[in-house]
Formats: sequence, C-alpha cells, structure tokens
Amino acid sequence: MLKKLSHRPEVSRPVRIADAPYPVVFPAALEYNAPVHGTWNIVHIGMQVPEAVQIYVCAENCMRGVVMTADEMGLGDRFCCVTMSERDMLVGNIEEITIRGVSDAIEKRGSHPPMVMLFTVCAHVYLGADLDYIYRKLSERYPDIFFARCYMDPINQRTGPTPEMKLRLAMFDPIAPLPKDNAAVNLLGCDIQQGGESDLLPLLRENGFRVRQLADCKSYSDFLALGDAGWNLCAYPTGEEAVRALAERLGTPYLYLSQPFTFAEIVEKRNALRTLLGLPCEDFTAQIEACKTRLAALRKTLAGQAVCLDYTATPRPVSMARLLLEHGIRLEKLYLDAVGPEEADDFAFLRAHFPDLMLHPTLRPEQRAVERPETDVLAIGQKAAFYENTPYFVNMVEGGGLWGFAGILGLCGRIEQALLERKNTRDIVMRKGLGCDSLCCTPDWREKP
Amino acid sequence: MKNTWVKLPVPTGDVSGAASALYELGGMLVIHDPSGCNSTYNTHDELRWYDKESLIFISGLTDIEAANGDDSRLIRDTVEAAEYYRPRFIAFANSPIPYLNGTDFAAICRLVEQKCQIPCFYVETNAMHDYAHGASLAFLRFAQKLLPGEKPARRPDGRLRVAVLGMTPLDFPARTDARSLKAILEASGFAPVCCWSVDTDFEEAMQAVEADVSLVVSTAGLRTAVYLKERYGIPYVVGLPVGRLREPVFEAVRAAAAGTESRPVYLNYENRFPGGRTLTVVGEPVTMGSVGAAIALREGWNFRIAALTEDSAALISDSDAAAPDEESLTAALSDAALALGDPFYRRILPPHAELRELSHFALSGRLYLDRVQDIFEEVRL
Repeated sequence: MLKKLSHRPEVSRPVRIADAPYPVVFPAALEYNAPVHGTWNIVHIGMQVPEAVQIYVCAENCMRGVVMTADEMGLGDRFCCVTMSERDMLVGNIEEITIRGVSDAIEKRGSHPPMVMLFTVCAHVYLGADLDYIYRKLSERYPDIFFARCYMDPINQRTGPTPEMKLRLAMFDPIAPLPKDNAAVNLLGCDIQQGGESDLLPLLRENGFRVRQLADCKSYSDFLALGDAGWNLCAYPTGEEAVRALAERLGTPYLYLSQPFTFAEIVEKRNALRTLLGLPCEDFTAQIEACKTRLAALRKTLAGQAVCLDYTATPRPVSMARLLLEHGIRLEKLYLDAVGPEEADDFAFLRAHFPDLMLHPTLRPEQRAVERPETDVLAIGQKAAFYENTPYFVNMVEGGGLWGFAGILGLCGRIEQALLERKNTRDIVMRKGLGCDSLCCTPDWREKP
Repeated sequence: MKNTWVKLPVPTGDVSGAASALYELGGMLVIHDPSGCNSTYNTHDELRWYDKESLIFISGLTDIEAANGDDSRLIRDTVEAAEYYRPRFIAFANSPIPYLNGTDFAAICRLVEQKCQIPCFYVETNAMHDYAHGASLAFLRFAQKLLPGEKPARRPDGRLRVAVLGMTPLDFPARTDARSLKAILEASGFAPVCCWSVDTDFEEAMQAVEADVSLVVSTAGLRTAVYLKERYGIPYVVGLPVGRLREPVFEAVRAAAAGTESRPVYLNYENRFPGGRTLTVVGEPVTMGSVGAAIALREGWNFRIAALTEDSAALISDSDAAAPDEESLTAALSDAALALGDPFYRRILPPHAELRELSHFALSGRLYLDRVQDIFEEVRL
C-alpha cells in the first residue's frame, strides 16, 4: 500500500465505454508512470539483432534508462554512451561531436561489430543536425560496420512514428535481397516469439514452409540470411511498417496479420494468408466449436470472478475484451488511454452491446493516488495487475505470442493457470522487458513492522 | 574523449537527482520533458516509487510545442493537477529541449503560483549533469522558497540540534540508513531535527532553520548548508559519523556550534600512515571519503578519493581525484592496488587490483541492491 497523502479528493476518471470518446479516451495531461515495466523498450528490441552494438549520443539523464536496461539484461558489453554537455549543444558542432564520440566508443571497444545502431536524440532533431553527414562520415571511416539510423526522439512521437517504430524499420536495413527460397517465411516485427499458441506456425509448417522469427537468429549471419525469404509476415502493429518496407526491398509478398480475437476476423486473416500462399481455403467449423467449448469451460471455472485487462497485454485489448464479454466472462475494467485504429469496429461493438464496460486510464495524474486495496481480481496484463493490486494475473505483454484459434485456447489456459498461481506482482511488474534476462533486485521500501 | 562511456553506466542524472531530493517533501514535481524521464527515474533511480506515494509527473512536451515555444498546456495541466492534489509546493525541472529553447520557467512559476496560490519554484536541471548536482539544486531552491524568513529563537533543550542535509536513496539506498543516523545522533547527545530528505516530511524539513549545526552527508547537501549559513547563520560540518570517524565528526559538530568550522572531516585522515597500505575509495566523495577514513583509522591505512560527482571540488583534497567520467575514473584507478566502491568499478580497475564492494545505487541502479549495507554500521571489508 502506498503511504497516504494528507489531502486526496475522491475523484477518479473511469468512464463507461458507451460514454467514452474515440480514439483518445482520456485527454492528455501531466503523465504518471506506473511502476510497471514488462513491455520492451528500444534497447530490448535492438538487442535482438545478434552481435550488433547500440551507441546512444545524448544527455546524461536521458542516457540512464537505456544503459541500465542493457546492464540489467547482462548485455552492457553491447552498449556504449556518448554524453553531451551544454557546450556541445550550444556552441559545439553536434555533427562532429557525434562522429567523434561514436568513433571513440568504437575504438575503445577494441573490436568492430558488424552493425552499430546509432541512436540520435531529440537534441539532434531540435538543432537540425545533418544526419546524412554523420552517417556518411562514419560509414567512410568504418566501412566494415553497418550503421543503422535509430532514434531516441520521443519529442516527435505524438506527431509521427515512435522511436520504437523507427527502430524496427532501421534494424532491418542491413538485410539485403538474397536468392529466393520460396519455402522460407519471415515472421517479424514482434518481440514475443510465436509458438504453440499460434495458428500461424502450424499452418505454415504443415504446408512445407520454414518459419524464421528474430529469436531464431543466433548470429549476425543468421540475421542477414533473412534476406532469402520468399514471404514476409508481420503480426504486430508497431512492426508493420518495418516489415512491409523489408518485403518491398526484398521483393516478396507481404501480409499484416494483426492479432485477432473474434472468430470472424481469425477466419478472414487465415484465409488471407492461405490465399497469399496459394493454398485452398479451410473449413474452420471444428476449430470454432473447440474455442466455444473452451471458453464455456473457462466461464464455468471463473464462476463469476471479476476480470480486468490492460493494453500492455495485447495490441488488441478491445478485441480481446469483446471475445471475453461475448462468451460470458465478467470483464469489468479495461485499462487503456486511447484506442488504436485496428480496434474501431470492436470498440463500436462493445459500445453497442456492452455499454457498461468501464474504461480506466493508466497515465492520468490522478492514477498516482488511486486507491489500490489488495484484491483477488483476475487480471490480464501487468498494469491491470498493478492497479487492481492482485497476485492473480496473466503475465504477458505484446500479445504474448497468441494468435488465432490456438491463441484463444492458449489465453483460456493462461487465465486458468493464473487463477491457481499466486504471483509476486510487485517483483514481476517492476522488471523490464518480460522474457529478457533481468538481473536486477527489487527491494521493498515499505516500513517493516 | 571524456564523454564516452564504454565500460561503465552513466551515473544517475540531475533530473532524477532533483526528483529524489524532493520526493518526500509533500510537493509536486513536474519534469518538462517529452517522455522517458519519469520512467527512467522511477525504474532505475528511485527505490520508493512502488511503495511510497510522491507526485512526480512529466509534461509530455511535443515537437510542435517546443518549436512554437508554447507553454500553455504545461501551465494548464500543472494547474489542473495541482488543484486536484493541492500539494505543499510545485517544482519544475527542466530537460534538454526546453533548456535549448530558453523556456522561461520564472514566468511559468509566477503564473502557476498566481493561479493555484501554491508556492512554485524552478530547479534548473537540463539532464546534462549528475544526480548530486540536480539534488543539490533542488534542496537549495526548496530552502530558498519555503524556509521561514527568520531563524526561530533557540528552545532551551540543552542538546545541540542537528539538521542532516543531503540524504537520498541514491547515496543511501539501505532502508535503515536514515533511522540509523538519527539513532547515532541521539545516542551521542544530539537532537536531530530533520533529515533532508528521507523519512522527513514537509513540517520536519522546515525545522532545518532551528538547527544549531547542519551536517552534510553527501555532495547534495552542500549548497543548502552554505545557504543556511549565509541566510540563518547556521554553521555546517561535512562528513558521516561512521565507524571510527564518528567521534571526530561529532567533535567537529560541537566545535562548529562553538564557532570553529573545519574542512570536511574525513580529509584530516587521508595521509596519516606514511608507508601504509593505500585504499582508493570511489564514488560520491562525502560518503566514500567518510567510509574510507573510518576504515583507514581502523586498519592503519592511508586512503584517497576518486570522486564521481562533478561538484566535488570543495569536498576533496589535492591528493584526491575529481573523476566524473569513465576516462578520469580509469586514470584515477590505474595505479590502485586496493579499492572500495561499486562492483561496476571492477571493469576499469587494473587486473591486479583488489576491489572491496560497496554498491552505489546512483551508479549500478537495481543491479546490486542485494549487496547494500547500512553505511552507518561498520562497513564489512
């Protein structure tokens, strides 16, 4: 429990979905950052390219979060910093400082990595740094290194792509076209690997395709070998532009397969994939019935237990909410601040059919002091678990590798498992990058009795 | 280049330092920043975030607002949150882009103060300095804005009253540090009036002006100690009453109250044992210098300081090294045979050197918190 402030008006801002504006549900304000960090940041994402080194050129305070992310992953040896001073920014030449700093970092490391992800920052944008010059000079100086244009410039993220989206785009830049292998399929753009709880892998493998995900790349040469793919697929929204651009560069067919939770959308997407691959359409009746049976069993198991969900668990929280509500699960709260464009139809459906579903913000300043008595609510996602202060939650981020009918069955299994397992919510949600190594400690500051 | 970090993480920055300093004082801190500052701070630089409430927010500055110099949303959102929470004070911290475009925080403070009728001040961080710099500015601006105009008349208690200045979890990550120091002071006949700022709320913090002596326990406390001396005539002593340095520090406190001031207490014990073994202590100079002196006195060693914090000039001697970057730290440790400091320093020590570990939250963050020691207990070596 948080220590109480002396003054706390009883005001909160949850809203019925029927009354909620779209797409921004809760207006921007001062932002509170909950101590929930399981989603991946740009360091986690970039580290998926084997052997690549990340170099950030920015102010000291801005550097701290990324360097500690790398060290908590145990990958500090693939990370370098160049800090900038007032003098560098105000009277220096930011291009020269960047080039000299990056060069110095490379020389001090001793060996040349095959790829450097160079992250420039808000100050480079604001000072109008000539990035073409920076990258040209570095490439001339180190012709054996591929310099990827990465950005940590959150000042632009409300009016353009986020740093994460730009990183996903840049990290594929070294992949060049290779002779095509029409049996090879790249499934890229998401950090959480798909496996047995996804329809995509069995579908592809049963039809003779080899599927490669980023986690399958153990070396830089494995990574470059993605260039021989005959097909490129993406199942995660912030990777969509990056994988589409890669497909265009490689000259391959491409399909975006957003994580679906309604039967109709799953059927539509599976058929779209089969059409792309030249396969006949399927009859999904048995799989739909299996999902219905499983969801009915889950409903029985939950026995009216309250469930809540947040947007960090899946990029399609509204769609997942619709699935649960349509099958009688008592979903009471959905934590999100805005609704993505892919979710417009699901949002409209819920407004019409489940108008009392409550939407709760995550970033609003009022959230800092929201009451969090310990509950046994079943949460899906770390932020929901934090706000509900429950030890019973499905610990997943970024869709958790779920996709399609197998994804629904997997979700049901995870919910049932979460009911049985009392988790240490505090320790789990404070760790960064769920699925990555986490070497940190999370001691408790509360007063001991 | 001195600004390249290859083997060590950069230490905590000034924005986080300011937030850490003000955390428990009942105010609201608004970091004028696009994103990231708050997440960085509460993930890696703040131990209390999950367990103890504090009003620290970011403004979410956008490119269009920065380009247009548009502060209206910052002001509106700050007023809205302040009306909701009615904090004791409102503080603004700065970040690189508002720093570069010359955002007029003095005017913003005046406007917000007028609208809310809540004291408002600006901590001039810009993300380009270290945590101690930011924390020390935050403490100073808090003192200048909120302490009463006059020093109250002395109450006839008989004990010397001591205000501890400069304590944050960044240098004192053990949960027991503040209460241990308080207990040590009380056991030695002093009356601790406040500890800026762990386990001290707004009202207690206001009692700093009632102190007979300020005790500076880290770099972060020095600016405020100087201010309290100039403004209220309160003398100060620099050093931690740890181990065998305890009595020398308390002697210095008594002497200061009697009108005799001294340099940082630990510096008196740097070269006491010619020919003896030399311990190099690395990190924040007041804490590490004090621990170094205590160990040196116990073991009959010499010690020297490699000071990580940039504002260390008044806190070290000519035989010490100011080493606020990786290159300077590497040079300072190049001939060390025995060092005491954060486990990270092993990466830059010569191969033959021995490192005794004392983890430093402002450097290694959450990585070695399982090795944290209450610094006021005898440091195990």
